[in-house]
Amino acid sequence: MTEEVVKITSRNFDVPQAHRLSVALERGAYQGLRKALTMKPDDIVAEVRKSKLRGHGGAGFPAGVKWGFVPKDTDKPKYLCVNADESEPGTCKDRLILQKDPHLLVEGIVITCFAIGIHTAYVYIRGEYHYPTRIFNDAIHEAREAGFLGKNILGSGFDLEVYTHPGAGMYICGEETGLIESLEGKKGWPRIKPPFPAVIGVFNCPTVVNNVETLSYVPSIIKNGADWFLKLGTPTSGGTALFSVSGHVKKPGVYELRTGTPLRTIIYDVAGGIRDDKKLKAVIPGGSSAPILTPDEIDVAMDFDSMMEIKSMLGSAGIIVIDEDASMVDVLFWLTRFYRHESCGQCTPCREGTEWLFKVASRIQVGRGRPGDLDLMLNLCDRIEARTICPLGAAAAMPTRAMIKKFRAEFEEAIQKAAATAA
Amino acid sequence: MPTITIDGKTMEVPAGIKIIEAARLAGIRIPHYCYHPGLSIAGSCRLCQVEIEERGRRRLDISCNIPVADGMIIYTDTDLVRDVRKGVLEFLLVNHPIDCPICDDAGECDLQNYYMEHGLYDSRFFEPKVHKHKVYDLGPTVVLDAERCVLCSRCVRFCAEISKTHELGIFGHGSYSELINYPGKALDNPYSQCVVDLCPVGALTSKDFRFKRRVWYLKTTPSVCPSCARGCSIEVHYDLNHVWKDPRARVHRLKPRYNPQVNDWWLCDRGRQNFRWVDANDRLISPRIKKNGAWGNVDWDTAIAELSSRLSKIIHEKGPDAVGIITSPKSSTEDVYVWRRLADDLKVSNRAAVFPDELKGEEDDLLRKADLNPNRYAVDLIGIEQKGSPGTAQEVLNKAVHGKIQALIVCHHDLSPYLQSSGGADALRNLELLVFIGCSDNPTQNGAHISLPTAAWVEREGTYINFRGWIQRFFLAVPPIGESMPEWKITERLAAKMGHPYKYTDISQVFQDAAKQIREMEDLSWSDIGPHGSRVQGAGKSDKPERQKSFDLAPTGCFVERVWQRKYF
Repeated sequence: MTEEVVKITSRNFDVPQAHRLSVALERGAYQGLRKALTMKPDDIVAEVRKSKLRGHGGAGFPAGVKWGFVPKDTDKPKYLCVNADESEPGTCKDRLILQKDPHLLVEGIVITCFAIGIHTAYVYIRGEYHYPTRIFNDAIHEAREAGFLGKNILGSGFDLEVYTHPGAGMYICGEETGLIESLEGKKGWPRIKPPFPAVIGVFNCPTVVNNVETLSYVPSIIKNGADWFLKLGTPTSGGTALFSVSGHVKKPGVYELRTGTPLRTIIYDVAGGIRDDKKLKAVIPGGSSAPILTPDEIDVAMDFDSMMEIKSMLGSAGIIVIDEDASMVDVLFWLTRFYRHESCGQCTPCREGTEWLFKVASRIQVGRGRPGDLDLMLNLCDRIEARTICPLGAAAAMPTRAMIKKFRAEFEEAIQKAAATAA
Repeated sequence: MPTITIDGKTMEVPAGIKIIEAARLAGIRIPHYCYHPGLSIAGSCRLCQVEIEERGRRRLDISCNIPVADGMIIYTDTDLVRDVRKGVLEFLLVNHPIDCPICDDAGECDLQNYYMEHGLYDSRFFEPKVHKHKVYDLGPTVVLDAERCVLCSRCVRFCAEISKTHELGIFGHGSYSELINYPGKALDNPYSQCVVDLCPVGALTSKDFRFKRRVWYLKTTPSVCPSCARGCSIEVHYDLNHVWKDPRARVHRLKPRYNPQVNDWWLCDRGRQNFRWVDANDRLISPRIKKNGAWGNVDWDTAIAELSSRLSKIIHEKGPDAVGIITSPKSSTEDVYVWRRLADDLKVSNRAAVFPDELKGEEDDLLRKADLNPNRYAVDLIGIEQKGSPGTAQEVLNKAVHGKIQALIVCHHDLSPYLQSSGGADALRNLELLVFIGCSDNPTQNGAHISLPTAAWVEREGTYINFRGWIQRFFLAVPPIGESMPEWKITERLAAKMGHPYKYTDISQVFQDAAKQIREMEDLSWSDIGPHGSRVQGAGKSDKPERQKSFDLAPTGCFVERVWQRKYF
């Protein structure tokens, strides 16, 4: 078990007072920054690209490649938006970074901004995260006092200001363009693409949007080199990932493991197995938007590409373990309820489709299912997925489809029971 | 110019245009709600999705946002695209009240039209519907039914981008999203009814028009707005057959007609409501002569003969300087031209059209002009007034008041506001002959000796030249009320009676004659003035950027087939 656990981003999680600059400095904070400031910005981008660092917000897009999309010869200011609007059900990793090791994130932000030539960074923090926001604000203050932020950082001539911006409680503001709209003070409606944020983002300027966890790996990559990082994980997704394990396991929590660690190992070894040693029924592997897995499928390696192969996704690595006691009909009800509530209402398929899915799912749940409901839901999923502005429609459709396909017998039983009661 | 292939048809299209516009050039109409060529791209209705093949990869994307690129292959009629349209329409209808029988937009509703085209399925929706505001008063002109709304956000974008008044927004989220005005801010701007034109469904209806007529009874004629010097292109919607509600009402609404040179897709509320007088009770319907202080209806021959003999007598006795003619900048170009020709032939020098203080309207950057006369430019061009001293009507009037003029012919004007300084309406009592020629009753008509009714602008053909020198034609929509006649015909008959036969049988002859005489109009031809008008020589350039003709989209949701494009132009 121990070989999977590699503490990079989580190395200070158990250290008392690690959010104070003095403690963080003792633990080696800002060493990566000192090294980065001696490097050429393009070399930093190349190093990160070489490390195969993937975006940990959910999409898994290579971070170095994303940085490369920002136009170099522009007169406009460039911005970095740090996505700390962590709202994916089953995911609670970014909060720990903000709360336990904020200086790691600040260091990651400074290195990233130095590499791309950005002088203003916004950290968009989920509105409910009052306490982490406070700690992070203190950390920014301390870092500025110590010369890690502000004008002429560590005498390098590089300037950077970091601002925090609290969200107002919408899941959709975690989508990068929804976040940008919200940051501009508008309703968090995702934008149509093209243009992409790298060209026209916040305040119509080139913008990089990265997840908190993604940026927190950057200091260690610079300090220890891309090869070291790449070797920790799989050849296509380097390093480690923070897995938030919740649900019916003995030891729920956030674990930093090498990417590619088998799901079975995570559930049975790292998280201690199923609660009360019951039978495993299903696993949601990467936040609620990821298609559900049956017990036969849990030997899969937890990295972006292996998960794609079995038509699920690593997503935000929020693992929700479901044991035999849970009813899939209930799970589907709660899942559709969430997406129906969080659909922003901008584009037609998602706005009306998520509502419809929820209404059918709740009917089945209360015992008023009708024959044909399951095929109807599958057809609705087809008509929502990939036809919307942002991925929220797909995030609602994919797990619904997987759940109905993999547990169809259970849903049919519920519908037949309803028919029998009605007769 | 990139070369693209749409549904197997390879063609060159202008660089930078969107696929939906390129498809229009190819004669393919892609269904859409949120897209409007005059507004920013929202991309939210998802109805206009097509399959796009680029570099061997085929994907589904919205055609309103993707610019054309060289080598692009576009499929607009595959199984997938048809399924997308069916899906979007089904989604839009699940929470729609489907109250078409009582919806004012039925017949010109894009939801209806597209469903008949692409939907046609049985409902699979058994759940209770989401309920929102019904019959919600948005402001003085528009009523909202939020349940019918498809949330295309065209109206929101219009208020943000065109009228720049920001009254509307979409509130709430998910399927409870609802279009409504911002708290305490009524939809009250000079262009508010444009949102009714933009609304593809029956969510926004005009207080002025709702429940007056079913739209499929309406017939359409292209015309020009007579309300200010902008001269916006409009359509006149009228109905002559279904009179059980209001027998007098023939014209029911005016809608903007796309014209990139003048008004784009828009029309102001004032112009939109400037048609009630056409069917109002104060229209003059018969030539009248006042005898012993009482009006008596006469036929045209009698009226013209009486006018001719009395006018000839005055000219014969006191010379042409005893006659004054005040024509109107509200009359058509041809009317003013025939008046000038007659005034020249009669050697009348006391002639004018414009009162100096007539700039009383509100003006803004979008459309509205302070000058409320549609044809001021033509008056200046034709030279009915003395060159170099426009606005001489007050001088002519003063001469009449001071007894230097014995006969005064007035077209359309109500003179009473200009007589206040000189003793009110009674100031003209001493005139030997006061002739009023116009559409509607007013105090000046009441004080006249002879009154001749003219046809309103929707009852005849003619042209207006707007403040930028754009000449546009308008057409006959409804027949002239009563015995009224186009103004040029009255003048022509009067001239013939007085010994100057012009022999015009048709308005086009008047126009061609005018074009021959007036240098600036010499390269204009009656049949060549197209739907967007033509530029008069020496006129200033349009203040609107030139747009491609292919973007000429009809106002949204209009049921009436635009056959007039062939019939009129």
